[in-house]
Amino acid sequence: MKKIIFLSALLITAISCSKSDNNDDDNGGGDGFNRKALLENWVNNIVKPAFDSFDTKLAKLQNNQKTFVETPTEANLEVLQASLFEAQKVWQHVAVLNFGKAEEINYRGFMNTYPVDFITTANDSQEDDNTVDKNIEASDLPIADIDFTLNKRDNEQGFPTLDYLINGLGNTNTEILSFYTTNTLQQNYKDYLERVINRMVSLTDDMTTYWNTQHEKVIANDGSSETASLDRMANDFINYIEKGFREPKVAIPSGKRNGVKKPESVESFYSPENSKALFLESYKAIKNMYFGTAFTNGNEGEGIDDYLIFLDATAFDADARETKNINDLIKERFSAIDANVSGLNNNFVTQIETDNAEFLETFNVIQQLVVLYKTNALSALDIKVDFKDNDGD
Amino acid sequence: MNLKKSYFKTNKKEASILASFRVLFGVLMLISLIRFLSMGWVEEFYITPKFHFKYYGFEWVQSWGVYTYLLFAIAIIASVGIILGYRYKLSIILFFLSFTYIELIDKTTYLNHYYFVSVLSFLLCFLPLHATFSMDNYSRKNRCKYVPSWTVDIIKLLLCIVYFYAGLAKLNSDWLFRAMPLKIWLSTKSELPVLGILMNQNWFHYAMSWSGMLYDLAIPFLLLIRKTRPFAFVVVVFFHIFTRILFNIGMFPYIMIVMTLIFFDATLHNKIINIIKKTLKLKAVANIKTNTNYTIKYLKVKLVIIGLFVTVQLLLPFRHLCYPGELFWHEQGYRFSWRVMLMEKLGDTQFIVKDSVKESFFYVKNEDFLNSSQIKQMSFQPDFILEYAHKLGDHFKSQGHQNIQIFVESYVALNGRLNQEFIDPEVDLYAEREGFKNKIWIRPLKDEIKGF
Repeated sequence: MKKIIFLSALLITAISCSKSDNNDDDNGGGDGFNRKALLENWVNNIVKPAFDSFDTKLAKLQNNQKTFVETPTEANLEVLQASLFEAQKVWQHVAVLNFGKAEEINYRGFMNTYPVDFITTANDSQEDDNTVDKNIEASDLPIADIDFTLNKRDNEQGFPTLDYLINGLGNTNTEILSFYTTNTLQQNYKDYLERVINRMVSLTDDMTTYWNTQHEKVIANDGSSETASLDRMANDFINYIEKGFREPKVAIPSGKRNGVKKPESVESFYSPENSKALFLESYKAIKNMYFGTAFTNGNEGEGIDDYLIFLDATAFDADARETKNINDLIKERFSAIDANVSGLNNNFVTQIETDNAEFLETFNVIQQLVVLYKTNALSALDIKVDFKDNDGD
Repeated sequence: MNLKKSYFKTNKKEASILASFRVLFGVLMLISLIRFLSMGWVEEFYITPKFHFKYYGFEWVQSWGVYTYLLFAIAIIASVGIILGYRYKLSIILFFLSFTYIELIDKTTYLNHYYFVSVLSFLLCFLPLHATFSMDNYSRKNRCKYVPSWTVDIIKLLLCIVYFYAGLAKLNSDWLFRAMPLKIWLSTKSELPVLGILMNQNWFHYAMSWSGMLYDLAIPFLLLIRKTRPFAFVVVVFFHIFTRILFNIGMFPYIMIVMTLIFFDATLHNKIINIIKKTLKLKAVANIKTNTNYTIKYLKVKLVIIGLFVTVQLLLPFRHLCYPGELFWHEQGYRFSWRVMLMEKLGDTQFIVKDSVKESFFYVKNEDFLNSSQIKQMSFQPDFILEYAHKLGDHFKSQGHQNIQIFVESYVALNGRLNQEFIDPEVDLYAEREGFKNKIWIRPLKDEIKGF
């Protein structure tokens, strides 16, 4: 009897000590799917190269802005407009993971919250009475003193504001140019443009520093718990599909959420001819994460698809009375989105105004993917959204 | 009749069994409470949430805000009282009340093992766990060598119910013939050292399911029979440690392992007490009288209460039979029934607030009202969905909205089935009431799960 108790006690201590709450270093044995390989692929072949590329695009944008401010000509404006679009496209790829530093500094929020703030009424506590126009007027506060780190100013900066300043001040480029050449506030427009870009550059510097210094640490945290990198990234990923993709790009402008169409909420509203292109880049970024497709050369590495295949993750379809692979189901959902999107106008403002029903259908096909991912895929991947004790009920 | 009379009146067991059980129980509770505090969960689960999901009939149990820490302090002091056997009755009653109050604040945190602690501590209020080896012996200047047998056996009975009912609940086609949900949970554990190699084997999923079922059904008997008891205990330890490695189940395995010691006779418990005495260098106090038998006051009243308690424990887990449809799907009668680790269920549930006159509507952002674990639990449990719908309705009414209707778009996946519509999207949940009546607005599962 004594021996049994002793042995049991020994067993309990040995196991409870060897198994601490977070298994940081446990890819030594087993024939398991290599979570580390997936993390490595995401970080080294998707996130980091996307940030490198974005960094370059942003530097180019800043250069073109400087040139334009020094020599405001229509030709320089066009160059600036083109470089904005280039940067916006790559932006879609760095926006996917609101991870680590990005979450800490609200990177996505400060870089790309639209529509631009023109609302002066304080409907609720979230809204202040600042607007971009008022900021530029600078009657109360000099432009140099505007605190862009305040969360309430997230829609007075970033890409949407740049789009307004570069594409939206007038109907034609001649009109836009006049704000920087003949307008009484021309210096304010130039200063505001400069501050907005500087802010984006400095935020992005924080991000590139983070990924250049922390990427190994992120990859090393390859266990399975709420705080392990893969669980966090898989949560961030679905968060992006919902909050970074479905909601701002489709649900809100289409009026899905309250029955009121809001074309002014389309991304790049002042260059709406680019809106579908930006949507497609974002959609491509989502697929890249899912399939593990490298940002630079499009090579396929470890992705969520490989993990689901490894797990032999299936779902029993009660209607069809057959068991299907979750990966196949997700690919079907992607195809449905592809099919719908191919029919959309390049200009989402036009799309909403002429055939919003089709745009609402875009929402539906995306939603089908979201629900499948949030229920069957997250189940199969055993991704935790919280870390409390559980006994499976 | 005589047999019954003699069992309750004269059959006795050494009081040391209950004493060592009391100390072990107290220590485990103390550790659990401190662990809970150190995880920052008091803040996360009871203080920060704007809204708590209530158990039906216990809506009056409110969070004490920051004073929830006071509730924990009470429970911790009570645990220490239990360990020492200091004012035992007061301590165990305080522990039962404070612990149960905490659990009743929010059903998001419902766990079978918390329920087990509440149920067990309720039972312990009626038992003489302080008959010997307690501070109360000092103040009363007497101790008892024996306690009535039934005071020990009733604890065994409760443990047997927990195990056996957990076993019965596994007698269903998902568990036995699809190895669900173990297949899902084990498959992702393939990076475990040594054991990892098994985790993706189909046969292993079935072996685990079947042995888990057999374990739960057989272990009460193996523990009751003297000959098989040591073997049974080794199995208990092995089983619970194994689940500890695989799953994130907190203190549960340790509690279950230690609780099973109640099945052993006094020799073991005397040893435990002697070890404690030696380690702490406790000296025997001379002027304490040793009585032979502990006399239980109000025996009849207590027996009636305990009789009722056992009846409820035996019947409650079968209340789901009153509801049509799949229990795992509609979950009417799922809680308080020792149904453990039976479901992998996830949902996505969105709420629409509608003005029935103006026909205007808007969607609700769940994050504005709930935290991530509340959203997760709410998304697949109908009673959560209904309660939240009413909360939303009341909230928007107070903001001046009129003619409010609340509709739901909900999709849920259960045990490896493709997600399907969960709630009838045409039903205004703001007009539906919570109660024991069958919730007809839950869509039926398009599949059948056979068994218990």
